[in-house]
Amino acid sequence: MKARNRLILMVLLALFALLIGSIGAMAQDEDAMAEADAMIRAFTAEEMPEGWTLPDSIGHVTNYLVHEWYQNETKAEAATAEKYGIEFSINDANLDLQASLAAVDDYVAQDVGALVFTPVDEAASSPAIRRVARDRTVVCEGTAVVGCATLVAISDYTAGFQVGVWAGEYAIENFDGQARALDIGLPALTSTVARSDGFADGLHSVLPEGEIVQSVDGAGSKDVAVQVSADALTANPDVNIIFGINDDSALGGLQSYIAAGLDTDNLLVVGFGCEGIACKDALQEGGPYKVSAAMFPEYQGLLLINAAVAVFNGVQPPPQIYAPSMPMTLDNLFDYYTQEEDGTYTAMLDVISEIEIDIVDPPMEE
Amino acid sequence: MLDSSADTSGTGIGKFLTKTTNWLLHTQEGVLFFIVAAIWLFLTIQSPVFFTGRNIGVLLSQVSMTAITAVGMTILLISGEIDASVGSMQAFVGVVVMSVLNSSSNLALGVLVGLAIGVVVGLINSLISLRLGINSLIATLAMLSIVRGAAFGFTEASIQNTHKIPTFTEIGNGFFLGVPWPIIFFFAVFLIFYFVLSRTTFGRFVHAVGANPEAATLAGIPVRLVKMAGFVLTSVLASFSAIILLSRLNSGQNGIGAGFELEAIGAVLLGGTSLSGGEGSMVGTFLAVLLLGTLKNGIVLLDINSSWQVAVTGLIIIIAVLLDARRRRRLGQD
Amino acid sequence: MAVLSKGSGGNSDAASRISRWLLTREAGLVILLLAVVVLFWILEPSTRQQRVYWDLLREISPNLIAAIGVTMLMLAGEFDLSIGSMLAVTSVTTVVVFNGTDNMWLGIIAGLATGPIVGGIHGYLVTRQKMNSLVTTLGSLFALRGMVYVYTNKTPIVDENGFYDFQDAYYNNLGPVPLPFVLAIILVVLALIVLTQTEFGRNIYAIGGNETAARVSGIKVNLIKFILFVICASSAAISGMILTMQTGTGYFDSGSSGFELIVIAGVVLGGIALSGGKGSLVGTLLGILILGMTAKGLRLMGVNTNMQLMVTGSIMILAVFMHSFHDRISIFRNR
Repeated sequence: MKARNRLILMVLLALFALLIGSIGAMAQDEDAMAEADAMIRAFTAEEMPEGWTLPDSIGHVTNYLVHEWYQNETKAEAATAEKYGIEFSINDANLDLQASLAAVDDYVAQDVGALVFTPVDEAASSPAIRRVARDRTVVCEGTAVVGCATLVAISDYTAGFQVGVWAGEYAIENFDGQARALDIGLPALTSTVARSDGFADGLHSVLPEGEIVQSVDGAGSKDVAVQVSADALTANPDVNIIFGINDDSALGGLQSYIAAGLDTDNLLVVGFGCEGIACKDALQEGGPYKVSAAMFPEYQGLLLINAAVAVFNGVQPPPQIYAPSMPMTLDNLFDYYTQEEDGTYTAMLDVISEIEIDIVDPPMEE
Repeated sequence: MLDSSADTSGTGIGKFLTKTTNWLLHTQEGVLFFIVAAIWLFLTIQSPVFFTGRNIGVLLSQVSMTAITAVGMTILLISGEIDASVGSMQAFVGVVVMSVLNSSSNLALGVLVGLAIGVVVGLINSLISLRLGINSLIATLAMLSIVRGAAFGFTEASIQNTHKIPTFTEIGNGFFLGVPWPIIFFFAVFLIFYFVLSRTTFGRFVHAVGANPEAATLAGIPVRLVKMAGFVLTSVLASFSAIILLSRLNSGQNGIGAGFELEAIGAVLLGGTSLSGGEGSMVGTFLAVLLLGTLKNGIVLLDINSSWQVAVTGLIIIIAVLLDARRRRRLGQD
Repeated sequence: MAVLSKGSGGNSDAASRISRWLLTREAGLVILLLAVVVLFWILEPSTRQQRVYWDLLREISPNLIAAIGVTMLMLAGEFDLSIGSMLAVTSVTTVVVFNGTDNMWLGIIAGLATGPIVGGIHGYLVTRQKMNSLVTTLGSLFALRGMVYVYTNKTPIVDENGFYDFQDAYYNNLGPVPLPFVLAIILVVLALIVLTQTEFGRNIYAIGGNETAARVSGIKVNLIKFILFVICASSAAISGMILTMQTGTGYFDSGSSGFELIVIAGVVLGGIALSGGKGSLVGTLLGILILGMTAKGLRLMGVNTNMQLMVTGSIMILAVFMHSFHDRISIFRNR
């Protein structure tokens, strides 16, 4: 009797321990990831975890270096890498998938210690990246590719949602709650689609009757954006909000609005990225360009190199290391940037690193 | 020459009618005219805003850049040569002119520098093609890469407007007597070169040189000089397009204009100008540019998925060329 | 120059053959290719390893295969600008059929079948309807790409079955040689035999040289051109298939960044005259290799995009100038 009781007790105890253990392991897993995330953000050349070795070289395959985003980001990567004494180089695919995958092969031939990869197309890059990532550190930038150890990027949906909320509130205050928005998007990329979706949902969250009157494909470039928005504005001249998935698209839309002879007092332009001079100058002008979802390439560059170094040393990173983003306006521009005499801007990395990242999840699709 | 049938200076109404009917039924221009008219009619019915002064103004302003370059390209193609470098010129001229304007605040200087780049690149194109004897398609395709490289080399970032010259903005966005300036430039350039091509000695030379260079040489026509003029003209007009585009964008962007050369050359070929030279039509180019521009405009107005734009553009090109080929064969059989 | 070779001895015969070869177009290209390789060998240490060259051969295989069709078509004086869009048509068709039928072979067959279909349409339009091939295929460049955009709504089609045998074919080797290049070389050799050893091949040159004369002498110009359009689109479809293996994806933008221009540049660099009738497939092979090696070397050196563009443009001018110079010398010699 006693023996049976003891047996049952032991079985129960064992089951209990197993339960606790598995919950603990899951929590530990999450904890470990959060810890890894925090560590990747924190370490510097001076304070390096003990026993770490640094890769000799890091190569970044960009998809479109013509864009200021990549120029500023790679500058920050180069600066960070230099602090660590790592050789850093860039190879640009110029939107050519074949060139992008060939550049990956080239970096393997050069035996780089770690690879940073910005895909031309995320699905089509996956087999090549999976192959390379078997025995090499690969960190993705901007868009996730299956095979990458981790992704360093903002939450595009969240950043879009935040500026959408900002635009909704602005419309309540200044346009009597009327919001008729033109969305200058880029349907070919998942990240830019998420930006447009986030913007629409953010706008609707504060202003349910707000309307996206038309979505056009601006190809992410200013000349196409000017052209398609000019046509769209003749169809819908009562648009009072223009949203662009990057600053070029938004500024192109603004340009068409002015060219159409419409009154810019009744317009709000919402940009995305705010990586370059154009956006910050436009904010300072005090015209209709009032807000842009800032993505801080200067800080993302640092995060990328840190992530690559950590993964190189066997750290298990979370699937995505979120980079900071927030709606940037004239009011807070100089909290994060200082302007030099030659008109360029310098990022205050300490302040940017403190930005709280509060992810908004997109609604589940049915 | 095809254009001559577009001449409406006949005496009687009957003669005018026969001429018009002839033009509509028996020329590439007529085919294009039918297609454009059909699409305009369709869009007018489908969209309340299509046939309004404002939209037509936007449409014509949008096509003016391609159109101005295509005018030069028509002359160059008739003379038997081609220039594929005009796409990169949009970027290169843009960034250089904007930085000249920023540093000098002198509009005339900026425009002059822009046009001067056109002259220089045109001369280089003609040197490589005519002196070194390299096929101009290849020579200018290489120049397409080289000029694009020069634009990237000139500046990494786009160059913003810091000079704030008010007249500069007017070039691409302003109005004169209610008509947008780009449309005035476009019509002026078109009319001038329509007459140059059809009424002047230079125009006759262009046709002769393209039709048969050996015969033209024997007839004492300075073949190389005529072709060189065509190269320089195309390049200068491409620079002019770039300046209008620059004003419309209000910043010098080094990545723009990709595919612009296909659009311009495509329009000229669609307009009935022959690749082998000697034959071509300014009116055809005009109608073709209008057709391609209308498709873009209409697809946005009707809020159709932009993917259709590419497909429809392609199908319309094929249909237009098909109709033209059938017409030619019918005429051949008559 | 060739006077030396009048003797009958075996040795001097070989010497004369070599000296004659040195004056050909291909010899100039081989020298140019060697110059490019040696230059990068000196400038960039990482080009001194074997793997770089195997990578190169793998990477240029799609371009080379497409170039076979373009070369044959251009020899007959016609063009196909739509090959870049063909890559996307093949790629999307293949993966859509993969996902629809769960059968790898059906997908491959369907993907490859797009070649003859599109090529047949081109051939019909040009030979029957007498349409200009350059403008017609410019139209289908847009039409095909647009149809792919409309069908996919600009979303890549992912291979749901994950046919790894299919994907691995791109990276696998036969001995040290990459499989795609093995296929490319087999196709080059086949095409070379057709062009040089068969009546069909001689007729292609005849048509490109003087179409009217060819017609008068009883060559079935229309039939041959029709077949060439089918061959050209089919070779583009094979290229598209290889890129689909590499990416495992039906990619709507495959070949959209100037694939046709890169291939035509390689073909012209290899000495095929735009007017037709002149040039050889060996030249094309060398032309594609030169462009590929230049791009690779510059990438390995970390040269930025603008310099890459300028260097590639200059090499093209140099090579074509070399050809025209060569033409002038041969005219001079023949007098």
